[in-house]
Amino acid sequence: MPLYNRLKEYRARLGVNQQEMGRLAGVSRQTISQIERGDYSPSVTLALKIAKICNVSVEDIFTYQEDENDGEI
Amino acid sequence: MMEKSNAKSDNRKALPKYLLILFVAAIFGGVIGFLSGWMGHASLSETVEAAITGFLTAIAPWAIPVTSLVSLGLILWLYRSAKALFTGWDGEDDAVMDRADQKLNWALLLTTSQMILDMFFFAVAETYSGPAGGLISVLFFVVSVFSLVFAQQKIVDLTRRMNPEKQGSVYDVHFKKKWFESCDEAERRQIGQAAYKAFNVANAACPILWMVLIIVSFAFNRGILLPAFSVCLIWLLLNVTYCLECIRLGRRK
Repeated sequence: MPLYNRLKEYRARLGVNQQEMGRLAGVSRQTISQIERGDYSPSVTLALKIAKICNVSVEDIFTYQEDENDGEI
Repeated sequence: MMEKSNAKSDNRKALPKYLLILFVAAIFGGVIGFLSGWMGHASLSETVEAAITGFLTAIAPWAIPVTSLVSLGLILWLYRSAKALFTGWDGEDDAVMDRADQKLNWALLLTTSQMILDMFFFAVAETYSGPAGGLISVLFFVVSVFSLVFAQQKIVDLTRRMNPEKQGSVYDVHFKKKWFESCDEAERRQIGQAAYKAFNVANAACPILWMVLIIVSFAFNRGILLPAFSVCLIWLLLNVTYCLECIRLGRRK
């Protein structure tokens, strides 16, 4: 999955646990946990919502990094 | 044009393997068909049938209470472990909550599996027990199903305490709809993936089951119509529902 994130770091800055972060973003604790582990790439809406909660831009939290094989012909 | 030639190339690559599988399956089917036909004419099928009947008659009265007690014991243990993890959670270590979730998922799987087993053993008891045994089995069946539904409700209640955004009561006829509506995007994706896997497994299991039933009917000289009808109906229902839902979801809104 080429989407990397720093959600755990920003959540720690806010001083909230996964359950509270989930409540703020309107999703479950498990979803926050999956995003942090990199097992789930959130929708644009959810990514924007999370960025708004953390008071930063989406790119600060989520970074798209191309795989080495991407774009090869 | 490019896509068409790619598709043709993929077909050419896959065709020999497909034909080989068909050939091996035809040989295998022929051998099994011959053996089952031979078994049907020899006394072997009667011996096997007598053994199966004896086994089912022996287990008929006790199968529901014994399996239910074992399952309910395991469900209670999993539920209590999950509850202990949840009540002891410090609000920081999220791995603890993940473990509690897993335990509840296993407990739910056990309740569903036991309910299906109850349905099977109920049919066994009604077929192989006398009138008194049959009546007792009805009682065991009712008690077991009620206990399992109660266990499901307790599991759902604990899950809701752990995840306050979740909605629904097991006693509500619209429970599944309400529960699904309270799931977020990641959970819905997970449900979709799990449902697709279940669809594929059932789609693979149906023809195998149909084949096994045909072989058994040859071997034991039994009627095939009702079992084959049941399997084919489930198979048809599965595929028609899947395709119709794909068509519906693909429509422009």
